[in-house]
Amino acid sequence: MGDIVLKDVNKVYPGGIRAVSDFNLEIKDKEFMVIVGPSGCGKSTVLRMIAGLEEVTSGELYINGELVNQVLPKERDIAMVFQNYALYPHMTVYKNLAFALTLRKVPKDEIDRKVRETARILELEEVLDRKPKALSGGQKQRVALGRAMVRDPQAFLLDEPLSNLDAKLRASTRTEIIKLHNKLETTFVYVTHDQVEAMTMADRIVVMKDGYIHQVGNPQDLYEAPYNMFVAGFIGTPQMNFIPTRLKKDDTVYYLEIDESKIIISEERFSRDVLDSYLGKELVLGVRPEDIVEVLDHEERLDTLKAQVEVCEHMGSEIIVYIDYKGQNIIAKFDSDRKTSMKPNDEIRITFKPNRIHLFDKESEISLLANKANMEKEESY
Amino acid sequence: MKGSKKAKSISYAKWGYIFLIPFFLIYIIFFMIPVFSTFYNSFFENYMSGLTQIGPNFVGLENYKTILFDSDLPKYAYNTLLIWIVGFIPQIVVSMVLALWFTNARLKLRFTGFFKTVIYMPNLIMAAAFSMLFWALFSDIGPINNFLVAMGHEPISFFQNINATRGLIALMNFLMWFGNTTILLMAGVMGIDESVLEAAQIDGASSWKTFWHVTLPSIKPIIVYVFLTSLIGGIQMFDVPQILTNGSGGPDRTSMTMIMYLNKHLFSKNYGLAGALSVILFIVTAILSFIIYRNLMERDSSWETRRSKQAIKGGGK
Repeated sequence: MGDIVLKDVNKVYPGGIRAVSDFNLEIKDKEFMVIVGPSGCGKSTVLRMIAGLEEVTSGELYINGELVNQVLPKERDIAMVFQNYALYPHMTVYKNLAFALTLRKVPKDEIDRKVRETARILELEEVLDRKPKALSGGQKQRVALGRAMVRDPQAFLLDEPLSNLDAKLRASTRTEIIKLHNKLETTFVYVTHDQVEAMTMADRIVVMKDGYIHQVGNPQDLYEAPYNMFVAGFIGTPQMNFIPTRLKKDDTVYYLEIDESKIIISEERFSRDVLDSYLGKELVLGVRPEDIVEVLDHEERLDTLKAQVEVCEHMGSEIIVYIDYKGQNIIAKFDSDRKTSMKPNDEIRITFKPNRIHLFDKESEISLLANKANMEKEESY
Repeated sequence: MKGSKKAKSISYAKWGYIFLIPFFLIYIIFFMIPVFSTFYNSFFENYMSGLTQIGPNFVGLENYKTILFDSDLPKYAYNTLLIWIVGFIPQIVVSMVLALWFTNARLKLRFTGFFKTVIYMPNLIMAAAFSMLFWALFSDIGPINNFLVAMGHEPISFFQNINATRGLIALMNFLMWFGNTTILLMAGVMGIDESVLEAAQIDGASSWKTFWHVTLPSIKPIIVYVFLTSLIGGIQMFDVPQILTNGSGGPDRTSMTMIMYLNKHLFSKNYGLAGALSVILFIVTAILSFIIYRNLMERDSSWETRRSKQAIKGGGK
């Protein structure tokens, strides 16, 4: 019903500024697709092209199997929720909700039924007679959602809808939107710069940077197997740690050399062929904070890094520790039930869970794991 | 030590008042005194009958009675408002269209800065010079008639024709003021949140419907402002018809405005009647100004409440 396909889509603004390059994406019907990326990566432009607010410079855009490059926004049958809500300031909430239906010349009693139904779902019944300026941020947000809902559109487009809400409201609205998606069973395309929103809401995530797609996948895939260093660093908080290293081989054992330390690599995780091709070369080791392990025994071991604790943040269930390793910052996340307590300036020895580490090519920044799986994909870059 | 410190401290309040003196002097001499003397004079019989000076005698509201019920004022008020409306309607329509064109990024208009300057230009020319230009152009032996004759047309005596004279005055007012109105409306249109217009497009509104349901209501305060200031300007219409018709008010005083009538009384040194007429116009203008003030204040206060409400909600949650 509401699938959206973008085929080799490019967007170049007057003056030659490339906003979106070679964008290929299939958004399935009823899917919750999140486009995430830092500001200026072109994610909003993609959404606005789907909405028809921006022209597609080249490429093809299909909604529901129909080529819509030249179709006006009002004929695309999509609804959009704007970042600043974009409510009609001179209309009451009721009229804001009813506007799209009024334009379609829907009978009055049906409009009334739909508006009241939507208001009931979104708990806006008491404020139907108010104008937007008399609403709280959360209420405005819900009116904006409601305005999209009354229409029963092919797809919902949401452009950073939560960024104007305070933290608490944001979390609860996030859940509301997920529930709404389950209930409406409509395609959602959601743009955000917040990877937490992306991870918690999406069926699939598109990670964008500088107008290019870096990876498409479900949240778990992106977390477990980031395609490159950008995705690895962007997804997950605190960020993944990147440590420069060199790949060596001792008889049959592959290990990473970081100064005097030697971190053994599990051959189950990385294929022998790939490792062989990088032998002796510089790599970047990627470790997520929760995959750092503190070594408590006092024996001298080669597979540990000796570092200093700088700051401890107690989060209740866990402790986030900022560690200084020879001038390089490493962030680690430990369970708070660990036996010893940690203080700033303490000496600490750490190692990494061997089957959780990531390795990246220093030049291309592409994951060695991806090299194994996505040889063809790399060529398309 | 103490002395030097004292010398350095400056009473800014004192100097503030000193700097304000010139303004208040000029304001009192050229505004306050004339206003009060106008009020004062409007209650006196004071004119020349032939060579005999009559008055000044206190007559109460007699002058007001004469002006309102026993003069040609209704006729001149009709002239004034008619000419104003004929000029205002094209002014607001053309200005609206231009404002929408100039603010529409999708049209990719070029040289908008140039056009904005050009349409504003007539406003910078002195009304007297502009009127002289039109008088010369449309006079019986002017270039327009020369052109008409050259085209094999009968010459037209523009200033003998009621509609032509009124039309020319309206046209000049339109030309002088549509640039100004365009700039004001543009400011209004640019103040509308772009995403609200986009939301309307996505909601299914055509360009016309977007304009009618979103743009127009959003700039309503500015349209009211333009309407009322133009009306006040219209009531005070004087220089253009005065010079175009050489003070006569056109064929059979059909283009004589209220202020021209006032001027006639002043010219004949009938200060009582002139004063009464001034006061009446002053009251009408004051009422209109008050409406503008209310209109603008309402907008401000609604904005205030929105801000304070947001602050309260933000604090509460």
